[in-house]
Amino acid sequence: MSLPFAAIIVIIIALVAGALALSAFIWAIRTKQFSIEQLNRGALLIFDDDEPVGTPQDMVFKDNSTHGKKEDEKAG
Amino acid sequence: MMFIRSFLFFFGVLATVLLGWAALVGVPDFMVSEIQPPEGLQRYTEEQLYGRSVYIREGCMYCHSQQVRPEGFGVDQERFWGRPSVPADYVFDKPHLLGTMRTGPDLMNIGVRQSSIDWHLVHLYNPRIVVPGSIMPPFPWLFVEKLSAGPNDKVITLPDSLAPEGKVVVAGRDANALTAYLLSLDRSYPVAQGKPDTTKKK
Amino acid sequence: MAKKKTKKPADPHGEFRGQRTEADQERRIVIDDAARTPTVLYFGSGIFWLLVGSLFGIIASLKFNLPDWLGSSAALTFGRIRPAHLNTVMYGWASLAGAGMIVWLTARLCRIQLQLAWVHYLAVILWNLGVLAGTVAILAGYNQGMEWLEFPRFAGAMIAVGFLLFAASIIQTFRKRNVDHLYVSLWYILASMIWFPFLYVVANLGIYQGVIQAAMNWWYGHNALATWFTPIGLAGAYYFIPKVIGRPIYSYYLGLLGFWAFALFYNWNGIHHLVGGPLPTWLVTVSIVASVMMVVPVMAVAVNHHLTTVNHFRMLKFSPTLRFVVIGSMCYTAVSVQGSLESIRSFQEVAHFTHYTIGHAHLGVYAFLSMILFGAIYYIMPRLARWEWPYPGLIKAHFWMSIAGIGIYVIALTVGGWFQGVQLNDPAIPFMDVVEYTKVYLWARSIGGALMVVSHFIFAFQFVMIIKHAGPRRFAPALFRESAPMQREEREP
Repeated sequence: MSLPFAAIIVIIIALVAGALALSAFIWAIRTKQFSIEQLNRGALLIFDDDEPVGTPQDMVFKDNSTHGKKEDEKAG
Repeated sequence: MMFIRSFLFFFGVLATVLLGWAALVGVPDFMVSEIQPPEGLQRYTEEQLYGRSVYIREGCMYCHSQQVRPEGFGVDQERFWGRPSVPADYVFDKPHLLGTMRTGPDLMNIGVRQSSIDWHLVHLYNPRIVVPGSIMPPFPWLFVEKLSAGPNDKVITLPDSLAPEGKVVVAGRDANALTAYLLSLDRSYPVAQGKPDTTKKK
Repeated sequence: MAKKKTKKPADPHGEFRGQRTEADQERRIVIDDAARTPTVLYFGSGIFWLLVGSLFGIIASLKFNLPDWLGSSAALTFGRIRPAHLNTVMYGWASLAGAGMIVWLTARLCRIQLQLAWVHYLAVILWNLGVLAGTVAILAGYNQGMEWLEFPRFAGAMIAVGFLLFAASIIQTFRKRNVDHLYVSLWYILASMIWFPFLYVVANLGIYQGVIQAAMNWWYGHNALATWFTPIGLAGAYYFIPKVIGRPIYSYYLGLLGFWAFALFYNWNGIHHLVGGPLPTWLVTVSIVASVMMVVPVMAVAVNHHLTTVNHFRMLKFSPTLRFVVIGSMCYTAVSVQGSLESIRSFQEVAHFTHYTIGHAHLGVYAFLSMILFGAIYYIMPRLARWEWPYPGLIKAHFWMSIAGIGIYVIALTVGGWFQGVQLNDPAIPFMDVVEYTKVYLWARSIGGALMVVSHFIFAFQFVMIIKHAGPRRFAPALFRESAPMQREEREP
């Protein structure tokens, strides 16, 4: 299968760009531009004091009330 | 810092789509644009072009492909659908009608396989007349019912169950043009075959 | 890698700058209120096209079973109904419902009221007019002649302008955000604001012909999925799964890697629609490689969502949103892995040109994307309408009929399509025998499709009912804590 010159160029550009991006990311982590912990905190953005972690939402089919403070159900 | 991150994000995202376009469209365009029309390929006539627009209008491409696969990849040659298609076969095609389904057979060389105008007309009127069990739609609106045929009209012979009382059914402009287009689908002229698109070993 | 446990209490106010309002609940209500009308307009018009598009779909399906049914109507012939179906469900239902979800989600995730909200009124009108005009045109016989790009240019232009207006508001909301971090859903949303306009405009320029136009056609077709439709689904899944369960995404960092792998690889997939076609071999191979590489970002998403949900599958019993979104997310994994396999040449040799492909397409846009959109609407609407879903039984009916419908549909076309392909590759079997073979599977497809259509009408009915505040008044704490409902009643318009 022959690969034309122009295609080789484009593929190389893409691979180099990808490698550069990955190295930049690793460099940033290493030199503490930001940390993994800082990254992972982003996951908490969808929660707040009123709908905190541990509070299930949208219990439409349940009959009895689920008070916000209650931890969600036992394992299973 | 946020500005740099936003810039990187924007630039990175744009780069990914531009690279993809370049690889899949830009580069091939640059290469294929050098292809000359093959000697055996005629430009479409006006009537054939109009017929092609009828083909598009009625959505024929949603059931029929126009690309013959390479030897050894599927059995297109064993089904007598023609020689493998090459980019040069499509230089006059705008829009392309390569198709993605074979609910019906491939039509790249239907003009060779079925060159009877009358067969095509009856088939278009209602496919089940000539192909029992076919699930292709009927296209009666491409035809005209008249009390008597004019001098240039092509009358189609219908079975009693479909023939209208006291009238004849003749091919309308659309049916004639579409048939002319279908008959023009003949890519049997020889071309220099590029490497076929398969690495599958037989 | 440091995997955060969620023992420590969430303290977002320590993390994020922005106004301290009296209660997070208060702030959330203010934000929801500002997004309400645009979101409901997008949802409502999207659902309208869902009904229209579903009806087109069942007509198209029945035409395979009964080709002479309504056979003298040009507007209803398969070749016009089929593109009418595709364009209304994609540019109508999926795009508009997706836009509604994005509007609400962006405001929530940026913790600010929707900016430039007025543009959405224009956008909704233009977009819907574009879809309407394009659909009428197709049925009347005007078709640009390429799959996914059938709408005449003027209709496409209206959709493009509508999209750009919508994007302007989203980007402006992002610029005015009250958060320091961008939640993962926003990456997908913002990326699609950049990607899709480029894609749609280039594809509609009309500057290509011949086999290159085919390459462009499928660069566009697959990238429409990559740069608009899939990001909608993933943005929804990344938000609703952790939100409903009440646990953060398992590994946010994995989500980051997954996003960039997605961006890098997905864009190159398009030519896997043309395996065996009259194009340079290297071009097809490049797309096959990229298609297989998609396993990387897909697995990142799958691992993330699975490990977020594991031990909490019981919650699917209680939350309609979680049901729809988890099923949708699982089907994302399934359809993507199927796609990676399907792109391989020996697989394509059998499956290409058969009904198998159609099964795959519906596994993607229905079982993945539409399921997530249903889940999103079931979550968002009560918060905007400030009313509970009046008939939970109808939610269940929608869910089960929908699942049953798409299940029958996909299994029928996958099995039938595969063996159709096997037989087509046997030259001893006459073509018409293969057609005959597929008929029973095409009937099964119509049955599956009919179930889906009915479920959509049920869904649409209840959508109207919740807007009208119909049904018994409930103080169920599905949404509102018991102290809240009284305040809310006072404030209701």
